[in-house]
Amino acid sequence: MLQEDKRELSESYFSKERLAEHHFRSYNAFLEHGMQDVVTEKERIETDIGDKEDEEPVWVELGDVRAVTPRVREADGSEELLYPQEARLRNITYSAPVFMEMSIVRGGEEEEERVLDTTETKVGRMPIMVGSDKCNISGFSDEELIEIGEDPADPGGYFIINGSERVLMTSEDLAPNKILAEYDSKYGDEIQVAKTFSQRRGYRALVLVERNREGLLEVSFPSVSGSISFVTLVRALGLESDEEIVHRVSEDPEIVKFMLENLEEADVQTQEEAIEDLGQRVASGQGKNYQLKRANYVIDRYLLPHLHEDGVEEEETRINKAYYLCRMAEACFELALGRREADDKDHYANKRLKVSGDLMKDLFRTALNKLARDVKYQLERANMRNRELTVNTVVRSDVLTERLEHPIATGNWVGGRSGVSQLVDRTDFMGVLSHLRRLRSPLSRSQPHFEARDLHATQWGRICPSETPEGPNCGLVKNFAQAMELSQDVDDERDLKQELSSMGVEGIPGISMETTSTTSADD
Amino acid sequence: MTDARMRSREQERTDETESESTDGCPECGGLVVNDEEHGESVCADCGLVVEEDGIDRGPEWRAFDSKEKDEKSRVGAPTTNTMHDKGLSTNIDWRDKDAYGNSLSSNQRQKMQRLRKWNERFRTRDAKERNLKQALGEIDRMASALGLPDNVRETASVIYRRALEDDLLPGRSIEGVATSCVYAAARQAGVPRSLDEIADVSRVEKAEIARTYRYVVRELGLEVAPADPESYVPRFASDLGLSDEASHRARELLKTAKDKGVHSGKSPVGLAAAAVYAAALLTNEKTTQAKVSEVADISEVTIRNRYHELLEAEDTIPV
Repeated sequence: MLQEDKRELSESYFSKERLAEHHFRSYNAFLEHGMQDVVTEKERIETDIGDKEDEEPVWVELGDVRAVTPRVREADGSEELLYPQEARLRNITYSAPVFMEMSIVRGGEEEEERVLDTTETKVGRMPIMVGSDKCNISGFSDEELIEIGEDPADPGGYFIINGSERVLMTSEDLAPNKILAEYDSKYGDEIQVAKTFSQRRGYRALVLVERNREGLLEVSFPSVSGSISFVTLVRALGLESDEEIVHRVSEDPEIVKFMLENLEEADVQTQEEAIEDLGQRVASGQGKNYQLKRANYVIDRYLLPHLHEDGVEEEETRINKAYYLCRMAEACFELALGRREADDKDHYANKRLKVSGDLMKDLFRTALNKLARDVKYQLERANMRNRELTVNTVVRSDVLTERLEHPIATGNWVGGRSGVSQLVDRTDFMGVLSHLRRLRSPLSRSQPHFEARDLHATQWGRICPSETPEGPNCGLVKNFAQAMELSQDVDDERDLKQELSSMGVEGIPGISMETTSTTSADD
Repeated sequence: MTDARMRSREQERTDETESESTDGCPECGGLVVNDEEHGESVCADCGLVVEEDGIDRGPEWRAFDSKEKDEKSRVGAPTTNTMHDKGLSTNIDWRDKDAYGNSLSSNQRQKMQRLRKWNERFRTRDAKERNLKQALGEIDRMASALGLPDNVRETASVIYRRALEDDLLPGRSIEGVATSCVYAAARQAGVPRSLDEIADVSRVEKAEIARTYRYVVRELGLEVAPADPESYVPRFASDLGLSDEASHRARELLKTAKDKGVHSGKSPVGLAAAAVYAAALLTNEKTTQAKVSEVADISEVTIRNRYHELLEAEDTIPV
């Protein structure tokens, strides 16, 4: 290729939109369907109305949610389009009203369900990223931008909260829903552990499968203190017979030997016994019925939540959980036998980046929950005083707004992370660009973490090898390489699974196939 | 915009000097000006130092961002009437953690649980306090739905507190009184909302709001001037998507109408709606009586009548 051509190519590649492209893509995806997903997940707001006698239950159904473009509401009640420069100069927030369809429904027990009120109401204000799809300056020509006081060279990609420009730091997390095998030490002995950060809808649960010094497998997951025997757990999940358990783990004779040791030590033989055993662990000292209820609840709620999926039977999910645990066990044994190396946590394949849209989704989820609690409270109070229940009188839009703006203004994110949002570095133009393309590791900077700070071979082409601060943050704060392309997660997993299934992958849960047969469903 | 700010600053300065010079210089009766840099009040004419060693009541530190402000500030948020305890009471956190973030022992936990319970009981110890808590919540909810600024919420809360103090509540509902307080406060602050708008977000009927409002105003002796029709103009204009020129024209129409005295005895909302409609026609912008009627919640007949009156008033003015 000629020098000239190359120059033209790279010039058009590094047009200004590219430099903050990852922020725009992520935030636009959030506005387009991320917000709706969160609302759809929430589905409805339940109330305590109807707990008393002769009272019909009341709840709120949540419908479509949409954000318009940024506007400012003046004291006299008028509402006008807001441009970023005005927000900066007047120290106000560059945010857009969010509307949501809500309907209050009463009945369902004795009377028929009846909708008391349906309205699309303003539920709050969403801070809008400068330059995103919902931004008022998107699609403006340079002349138009200058007209409204905006710098045509400004890359955008940040928010304006109370007049200050805040950028959301991209954060580097360990990949969720992936088995990571590694060595650990307990009481001075080396043991093998397989870890999975199981994540679904903002809920994150760490599942650990450990092979202790006696060679026995133990599993620990949230809501169960300590750990429970692997065999008990898979039996509780419906994988009962010795043979099936062993073969689900591995066909390797040495691993089979290890598994047999485990099976000999098992104290339960059937699914019922296993669930009873689990019940005693999670609700000891309670009634037997409650123990069983609690055990089932714990299995379905806290164990490997990422295997749940809409439209898949609870029964099938459970057996999938058992299979998944067997895979984790296999990883432990292979590590113990030296068949594989420990997984490299610093390998970029084992990392995921949380960009502005993902962070905003986390924020929106908690904000919506807060709003739901407020709506519940207002509904109950209005009902107690025998007032007519209308959507307009139970929604306080300040609740959501406050919950969205405050974290961006202070950097104190949900889940106790701090420093997530930072004041845009306006030292010079390059400073802004570098700041927008910076990423942070969640590791503490006060600890050595030598491996995490080292340049890893897989960072080639993704992370700049030289741009990192000196001092305590060295190697923990990184910057994107120039031509880095950030791929996004799949919008619709169903489509992907359908495609995989058509290519011959069998046993995908929730995808019906003509060729499904239980025996060949090995994954 | 900078022009406007400069002007307001200048005005402030003159306001200040004027208030200072009510007595004037004791020697020559000249203008006394405040010299902040030296903490002195000086006569601008003869140079006499009227007052020295003035006190700067502001903070002695400067902060350059919000983090620094948090570190240096030694005071909490100012008291507010929008909270039933004025934001002064103690809160015991629900997490059982000490100042270092360590979990408490079970003994301590029980103790904190007990303290929490009593703290909560003490915070809302009598009926009045509970009543306030409810009402202020209502005021906040309605103000947030109407998009009213903080100073209006504060005023509304103060009016409600006075109503509660003067025993106006018995026989009336908390919601009704709270709503009329919001209505009164908005009007006092010059950002009126119409009764219909208020009734939309309130939990009581329009008639009851009007009745309670009249009662509260009479009993507390509130001075609420009739709403200025001009204050409705920007809102209607923005709802209808009209230009600044049109809303400017509408204000002009209303000013002439006021000079002529046409406005007396007429509903301010109706006048504003008619003025906006007339201004839109005069500036060749598209709108219909039906649209204006929907935005302003005023019948088309009223708009037509007021419209004619406004234009008549305009015509008799010699240009």
